[in-house]
Amino acid sequence: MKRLSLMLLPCALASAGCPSPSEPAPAYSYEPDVALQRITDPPPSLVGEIVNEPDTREIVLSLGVSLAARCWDFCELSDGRWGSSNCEDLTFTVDDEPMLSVHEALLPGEPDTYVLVAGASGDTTLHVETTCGVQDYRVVVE
Amino acid sequence: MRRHWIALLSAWAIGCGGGSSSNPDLAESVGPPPSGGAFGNAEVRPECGTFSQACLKQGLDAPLAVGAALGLAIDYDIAGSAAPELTLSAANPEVIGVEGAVIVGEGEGSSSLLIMSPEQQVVDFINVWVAAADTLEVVRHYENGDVIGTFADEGTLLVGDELLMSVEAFNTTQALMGQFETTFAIEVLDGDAPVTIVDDVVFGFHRLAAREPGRVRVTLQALKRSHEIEIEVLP
Repeated sequence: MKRLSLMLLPCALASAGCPSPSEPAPAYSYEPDVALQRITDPPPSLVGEIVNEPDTREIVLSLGVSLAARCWDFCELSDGRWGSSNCEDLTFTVDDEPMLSVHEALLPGEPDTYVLVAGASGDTTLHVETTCGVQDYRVVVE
Repeated sequence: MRRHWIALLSAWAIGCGGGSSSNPDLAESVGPPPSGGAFGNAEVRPECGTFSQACLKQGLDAPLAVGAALGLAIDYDIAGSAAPELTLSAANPEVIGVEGAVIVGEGEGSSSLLIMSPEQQVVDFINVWVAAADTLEVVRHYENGDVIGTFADEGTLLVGDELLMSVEAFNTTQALMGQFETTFAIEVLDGDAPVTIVDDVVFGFHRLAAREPGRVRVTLQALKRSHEIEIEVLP
């Protein structure tokens, strides 16, 4: 799966080993990425979690919980620079619709915000697609 | 703040609008505290009907009883915009049923309640718990609806007394929200017909009238629970 692999060395102090102008530029490696970031908390004693680990993309919700999340993406743009497309052409596809539904949130000034609603117990997959690519999340409703 | 009283007509239509007021100022002065949605776009205020203690004191911060109905009023607050037509939708319909602006406790558990725009956007959402009642209490009220207190299991009245009362459901330590049908069975222990109980014109309120000396056992049933009180009427 696509994920961001951004290797930036801390260069707070020149004496800490930052390259001099005569040395080759540090190597940066980018990969396109699409992610969901949780912006609301689950109710007390209930679960609402979005995991964005390098090897794990997972959404875990208690049955009946709704969670608001914001889309974020990163890829090489049409002008050749790397950055966010602002989740252009965002679509959500759920393999098992009753288990999870996704609704656009009406939040002035907060675009790309959606509400994930856990409607039935089980496992399914949420495909999040923007012009930057597709990210699959394993969804567990417990 | 823009106010969107989507609850009023629906609540009255099913007979649950006893405590509603068409005067927003009055409703705010005596009404329950609102519960804010996750986005802060809307506040949800229960239509308390019979002025139940749970509803008035806690707003939506108490579970809804399984089998009970609760009308909701939505206060919509997005700067620069009046409210669009709003609808409610439950994440888990096995826990919460939605009938217009009235939610119904279908089963124990919790579910988020989504406030939706006509385009099916989520304006806001809150989480609601539903719990089964394990006890019932009879609450006595002043004529204006204010709570006097809870009936003791045994009490004495004088001929001519007339009491306004309601029934509240509890789950362990919590008073549950919602309005529900209650039936009363009067067993006369002494005398002919010492006590009469009738439904008040406001849903959820009942009137108990002491007519003549005697003694009765009143068994009330609601939400699959029952509760007994014994009343002696003195001359």
